[in-house]
Amino acid sequence: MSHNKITVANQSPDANGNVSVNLSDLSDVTGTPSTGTFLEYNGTNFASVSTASVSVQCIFIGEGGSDAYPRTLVANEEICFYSTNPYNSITSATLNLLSGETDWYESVTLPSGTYYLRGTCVGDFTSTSSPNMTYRFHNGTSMDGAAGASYDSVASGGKYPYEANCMFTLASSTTVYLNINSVTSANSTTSTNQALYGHLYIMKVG
Amino acid sequence: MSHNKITVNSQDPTSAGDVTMSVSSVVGDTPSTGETIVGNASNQYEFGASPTPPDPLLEYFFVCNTNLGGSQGVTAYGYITQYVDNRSGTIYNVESGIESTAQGGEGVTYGGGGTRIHGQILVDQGHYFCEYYSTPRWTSSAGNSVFQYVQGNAGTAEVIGNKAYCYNNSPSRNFYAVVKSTGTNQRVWPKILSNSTQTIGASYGTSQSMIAYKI
Repeated sequence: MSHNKITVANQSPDANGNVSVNLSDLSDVTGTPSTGTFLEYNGTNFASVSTASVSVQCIFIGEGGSDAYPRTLVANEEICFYSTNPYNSITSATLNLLSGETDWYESVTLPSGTYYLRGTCVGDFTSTSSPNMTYRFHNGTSMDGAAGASYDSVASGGKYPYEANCMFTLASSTTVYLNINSVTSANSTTSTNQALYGHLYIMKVG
Repeated sequence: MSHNKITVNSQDPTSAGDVTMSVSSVVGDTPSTGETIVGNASNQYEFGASPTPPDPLLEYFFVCNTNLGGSQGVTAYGYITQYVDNRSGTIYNVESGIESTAQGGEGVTYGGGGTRIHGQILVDQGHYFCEYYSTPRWTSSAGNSVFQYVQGNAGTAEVIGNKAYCYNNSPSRNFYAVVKSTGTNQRVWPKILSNSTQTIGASYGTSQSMIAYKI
C-alpha cells in the first residue's frame, strides 16, 4: 500500500483522497500574493511583484573627490570616473575598475534593456585647443549619441567640459563606456579635476 | 487498494490515470477576457484586472528661476546657497513627495521665506537623485563659482555628488548627487563651495533649475 505517500506539489491527499493544489504550491511560483501584486516571470520563476516595488534603476559615479586622473588621455580609450562609493541599483549591472585602481571606473557592464546615459570628463592638457578632447558613449559596437567636449584645465580659466549623452538599447549584456574620440595636447601630468568634477549617470528606462 | 480514488483539486483521474490540470483549476477561479493573475487581500491568487502600471517616478521635484527683477550679491553678503528664486513671473514648481524650503543650508532665509524661494530640498526615507543646472552670473568677467550638493542643516542624509566649476565665459555646468535618507524631512542643499562676485536672482536668460526624484 503506497497511496498515502502520494503528494502533488508537496500537498498530501485529504481523508477523501483529494489533493488540493493552489498556485502558490507550484515549484516555480515564489513570493506571497497580496492586494496590488501580480505574477511576473523573472527568467527562473513566476514571482509575486508589487507595483509599489518598482523604482528607477540607475548608476552614478562622481563624488567631488580628490585623486589624480590615473592615466594620460589617449584616443579610443575609456574615460575613467572616480568614486569611493559609487551608486548602482541596476539589477545585474557591474562597475568595472581600471586595472590596478580601487576607485577609478573605466566601464560598466549592463544587462539587456534601454538606457539613458550622461557623462563628462575634465581633461588635463599642456596647451589650449578648440576643443582639446571630444568623447562619445560606446554601446559595445560603435559610438553612440551626442559628443561631449573638454577644452582646457579648470584651473586655467578656459572653457569647460560639455556632457556627452545618448540613449540606446542593448540586446544582451554589454560593456559600455565613454570613449575618447579625439584628444590634443594631453598632459601626462594629471590633476584631480576629473575626480572633482567628472560624473557618469546611467538610468535604465526600459 | 484505493489509489484510484485520488483526486487533485477535485479532478478525477482519467481512465489512464491522468489528472488534467489547468491554470483555472489551480487558481480556483474563472477568468474573464483581459484578466491577469493577481494577489488579493487574503494572500491568495485570483483572476482580476491588471494592476495599474506604476508611475516611473514615485516622488519628484522641479523648480526653475524666473525672477526678472533684481539680484543679490552672494559674495557681498556671504551667502553660500545656490538658491532658486521663482518669485516673479510664471510659477515653475512641479513636485510630489519632495518639498523645499527657502532657508539655505547655512541658515539664511532667502527672499523673506516665501514658498517660491527654494534653498534646500526636503526628502524622506529612500534614495534620491538630485540635479542642478546652474547658470550663474557674476559682476566681474573673472567671476567663477564651485558648487556641490551636500547635507543640509537638518537631518543626516548621506549626499554624494560631483562638484561643478562655473566660469564667466562658460557658466552652465551641472552637478548631481545621490542622496540616501533614512528619516523624514532630511535637508539637502546646493552649496556654493567657493565664489567670486556672483549675483543670484538671474533672469530667464540665465535661468537655473533644481531637480530631484526618488530612485
